[in-house]
Amino acid sequence: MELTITEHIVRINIIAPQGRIDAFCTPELRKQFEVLLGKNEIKFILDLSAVTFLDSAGMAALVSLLKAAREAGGDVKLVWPKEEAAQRILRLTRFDRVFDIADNQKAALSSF
Amino acid sequence: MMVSSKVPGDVEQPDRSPAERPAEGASSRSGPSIGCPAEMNCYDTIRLDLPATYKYLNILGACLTEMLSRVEGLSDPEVLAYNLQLAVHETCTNIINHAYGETRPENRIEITLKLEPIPRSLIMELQDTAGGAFDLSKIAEPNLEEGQIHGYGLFLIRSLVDEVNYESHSGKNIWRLVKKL
Repeated sequence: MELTITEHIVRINIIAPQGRIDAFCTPELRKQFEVLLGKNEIKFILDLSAVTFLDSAGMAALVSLLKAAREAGGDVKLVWPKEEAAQRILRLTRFDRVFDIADNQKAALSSF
Repeated sequence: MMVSSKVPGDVEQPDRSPAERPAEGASSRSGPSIGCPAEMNCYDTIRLDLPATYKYLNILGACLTEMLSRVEGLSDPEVLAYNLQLAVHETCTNIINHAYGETRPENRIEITLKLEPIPRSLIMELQDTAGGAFDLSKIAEPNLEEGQIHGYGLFLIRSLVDEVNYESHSGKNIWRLVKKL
């Protein structure tokens, strides 16, 4: 019997920023996204658990990554921030409908 | 950057001996606090003069948190401080991106934070000298069912405070955000 075995590895990049994601530091975050997308990475987990503040510029960066990833056949999952006020903002802007948001990295990984 | 705090009604105290001076930690202000009687009209006003860049917007959170810590009876002060920080922050980024449009050292944002007792509210005014006018009514609400690259900023401002006003005259633009406490 002839048998062909091919190893297919799916990489999921876990990005865990700490502190603020705002207009001041979002350019650096976007650069990191572009580097990974340039390497043909298409699956991402953005672990926001240590994020203390997220503004519209940060949200826009997350949406840009989501669109790029999905266009390439991948996806972006989020992990909820521990900061309760930041969680409320994600619900207010309905990010919980645009993204799958998990309670922790393990849950996010298993949602792929 | 300039920060100042002023309470109208402050009266200078004459020099006193150590025995006559208020105990350490006690307020030596003769002006009323935010819990002042209804018949007294008092303001607690903080002014910030920030460069119109993103770099120092992180100051807003600390300032609002500490200011709100002086207000008694708030139901969820941490969430309130976060929300107001975000509203003011988004207004600042609007000013930086759209009013000024480019980074120059002379571009400033003057922010005035006033605690008003009757009705109990926080008034946040942001003023720039960019000129031009901004028509709030022409900014559409974002479609929240789909991820947006633009449009969350004004939506957040409107959602997080009770009143949003904008006026432009004599080369100055003034945002006025009001949150009832």
